[in-house]
Amino acid sequence: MCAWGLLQVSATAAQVWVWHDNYSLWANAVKYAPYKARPHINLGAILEVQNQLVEAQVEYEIAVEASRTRRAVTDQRGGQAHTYAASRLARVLSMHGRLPEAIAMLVREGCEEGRTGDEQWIWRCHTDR
Amino acid sequence: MDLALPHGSLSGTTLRYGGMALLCAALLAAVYYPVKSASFVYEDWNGAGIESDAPMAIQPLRTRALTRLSYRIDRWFGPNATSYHVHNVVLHGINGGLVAAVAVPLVGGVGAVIAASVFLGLTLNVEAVAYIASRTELLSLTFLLLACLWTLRVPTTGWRTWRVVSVVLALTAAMWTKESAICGLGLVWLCGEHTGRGPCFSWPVWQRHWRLILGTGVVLGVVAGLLVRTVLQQEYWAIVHSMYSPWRYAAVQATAFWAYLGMVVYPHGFSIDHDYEIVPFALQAVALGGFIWLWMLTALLWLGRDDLFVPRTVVVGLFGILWVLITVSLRFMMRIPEMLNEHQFYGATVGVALIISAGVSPLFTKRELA
Repeated sequence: MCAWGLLQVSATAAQVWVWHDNYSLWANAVKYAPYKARPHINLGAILEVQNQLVEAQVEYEIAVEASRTRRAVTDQRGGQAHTYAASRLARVLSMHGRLPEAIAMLVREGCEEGRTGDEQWIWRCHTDR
Repeated sequence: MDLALPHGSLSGTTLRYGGMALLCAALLAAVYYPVKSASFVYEDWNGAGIESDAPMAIQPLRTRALTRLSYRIDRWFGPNATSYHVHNVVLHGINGGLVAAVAVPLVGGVGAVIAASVFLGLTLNVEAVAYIASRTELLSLTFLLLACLWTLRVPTTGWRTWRVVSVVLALTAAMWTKESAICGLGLVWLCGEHTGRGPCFSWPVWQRHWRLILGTGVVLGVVAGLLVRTVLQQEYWAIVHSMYSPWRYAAVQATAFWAYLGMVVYPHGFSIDHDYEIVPFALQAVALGGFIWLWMLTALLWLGRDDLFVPRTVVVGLFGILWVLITVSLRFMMRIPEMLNEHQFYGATVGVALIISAGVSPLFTKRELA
């Protein structure tokens, strides 16, 4: 019982550090849910803010793959994640000066150009409908 | 097993338990010290209204008014996350104290200390404490524990008006922190049943065995009815193919439920985002079956605890299991597009702490008596 208590307290102390900032939080989430899109998207967004674009691109690529697989078994949410991941990946690719590659990827993922009600330019994937 | 507070001089008892409380508080502060420099994460920005320049509006009849009020208090201390985090840790400490107070009539003084220590130290509770947006869980549990405490400690002469009013006020306050606090009705019923003031206990003694028969009939009837409905309406394949059919949804929640219980036993695999949806459907179905079976068995043992001569320690264990089941079951019925998260298990960990305390405290009490 004492050993269990010590184990809990030490694990609690370690877990508090996981919750210290967004990077540690989502890096931990990626570790335990490697096939889910959301942790990769959120980790990619943090890396993007930190200007680690190559690492962010890798996370978004995994997120696109994960959400594409998942959309077959989930409802609209899987599609939304797919659209979001593909859009973020396209943005990082275009920031790398690879705009044609970004557009090709969007088309390959079944996304098309469109405009929202407030005239914002967006790409929307067929899965997000 | 000595279920009352240890006898002795008031000053000695006070010193002893005061010292233990101080030790727990010091340990809690040491373990959660890193949150002092922690930042806002994930949904803290919109959940706690930090992204906006103006504080969130408080609409008593429409929103989580008390939770918003607590965020507004934190806002006075400046724009950084420290005050929000410290507030959460303090609330966790207060909840630990309330767990001890609720546990005293159930498991005695030593057991109460064990229950509070388990509750305060559980790794599964880190998400609720370190995540500012989950303030709702901490605050709602504070009021739910107060309601249960006042229900458990009603004077033996019967209900007194001010106690009833206090319980109602505490439940109302809990509802002003989070909607899921409606489970407080079930918890208060459970506490009332335990003290002998629940509806079942008011029945004459000669009718008591009918309670077990009636309870068995109702529980089995509900489960059988649900299964027959599933087969008759040919919902089986819909369950298999649709991730968000009612049964599939419940199966994913049940998978999360068992996983979190496993994390209590072996603290590993904690994360803000789990992927229980990809667990094979057969295992999810087993998880849901196990959950329903646990409900049935516990409910029947609880209803028949007098007829079956269940030992006192087991009764407290059953009380703890029912506490867990009542707090999480709402999640199985209200289909929102999320699975049961770790912070939403916060209220249930009180039951876990009581179960562990019921199992362990007799060992310490015997040693103390020897």
